[in-house]
Amino acid sequence: MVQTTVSNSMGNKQERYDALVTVYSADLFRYALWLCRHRPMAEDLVQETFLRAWKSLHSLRDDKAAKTWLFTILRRENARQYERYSPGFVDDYDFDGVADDANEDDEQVAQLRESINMLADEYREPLTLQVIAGYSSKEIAEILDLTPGTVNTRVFRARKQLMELMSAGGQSVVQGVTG
Amino acid sequence: MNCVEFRRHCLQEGVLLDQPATAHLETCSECQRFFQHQTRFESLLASAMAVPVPEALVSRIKLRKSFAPRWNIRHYAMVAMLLLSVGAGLRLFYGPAPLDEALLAHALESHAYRSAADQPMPLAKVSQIAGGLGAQLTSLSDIRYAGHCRIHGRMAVHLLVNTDMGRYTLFLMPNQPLEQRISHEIDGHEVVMFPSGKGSVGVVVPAGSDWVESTEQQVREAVSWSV
Ligand SMILES: [Zn+2]
Repeated sequence: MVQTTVSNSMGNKQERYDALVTVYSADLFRYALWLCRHRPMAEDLVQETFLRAWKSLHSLRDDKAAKTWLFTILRRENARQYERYSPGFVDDYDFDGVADDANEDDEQVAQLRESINMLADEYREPLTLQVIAGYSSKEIAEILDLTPGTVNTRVFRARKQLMELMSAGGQSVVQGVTG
Repeated sequence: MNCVEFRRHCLQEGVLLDQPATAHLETCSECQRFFQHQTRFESLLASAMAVPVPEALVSRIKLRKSFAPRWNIRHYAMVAMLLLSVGAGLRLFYGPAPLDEALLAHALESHAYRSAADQPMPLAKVSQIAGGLGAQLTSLSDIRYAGHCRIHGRMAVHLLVNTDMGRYTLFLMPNQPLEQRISHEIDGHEVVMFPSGKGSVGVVVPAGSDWVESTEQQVREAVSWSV
């Protein structure tokens, strides 16, 4: 009887875990990359996030909360690294492999990536959560422990700076914004 | 909603318009032009943020987990069964992998093998990477890969070193203290770890290599610490 219980819960746990990996690993990787801006480290962060998730999967009661749970684990992992180590060496601008992607709007996208890289962390992170994870200001505010108003201000400034950087780089996609 | 509010809304929400914004857009040709530009910008922004994801990411995540529980499953299976029967969780099944398995898993699955260079890496670059974690390396001249990685959540320097005998993986782990030398054969590899500085050093070579000892000796001589 005991054995049956174990194999059932193992099976469920495994399936649940595999589903989480399949659904969220790409977005988590992108979030990680914009946090640490270093591809190998971003992958390590995602790996570490899922190892932790596996170990405490039992504490995730509601699968609807899984996404925020995973993003929060990853964010905490990243913070743990920054607390322990001086960030100097991880701050490499490192997107090798990016140029291989044939589907992309090449030059402008590449320039925009450089501009995103130049944003202050406090602007880039809420923008990443909004664009990649599709979170609302309220959800971002909860993850980052800010008010929704602050989140709005930061994503506004992030976009404004990006558009300024793009027009300074001679791109015609943007025009001035007031306010 | 006026024009300034409309544009602020676009810069806060992307181009996902709410009802008042949609109403303004219908009546204002200036903002229609702005909105067109903005839509273009948002699509570029989404592409830029959606950086390519490593191809085998999903399988590597699953592979890495498979290394984690194996070491203690035999030892803890009985205990876990007992605990389960009194309502305690499965958590004990999944304690962290010991350091040597973590090293081997990382050595085999990491990006390092794929990005190993055809030429020795310039020593200045290697020194910079090792120095980032307080390590100095001398006399390991043919290094084909050097980068930072994470072992058990702590930063380490990950190196691939070519020798006449073959290639081996070297980890410099300033934050992974070790009491004494450990050597294990796991899955066709010899994993040797020994204390070094305040942390430890790990070497992964193919099992049965008769150059394990000389390699370890060479590594011990080559590594020093400034932390
Ligand atoms: Zn208007």
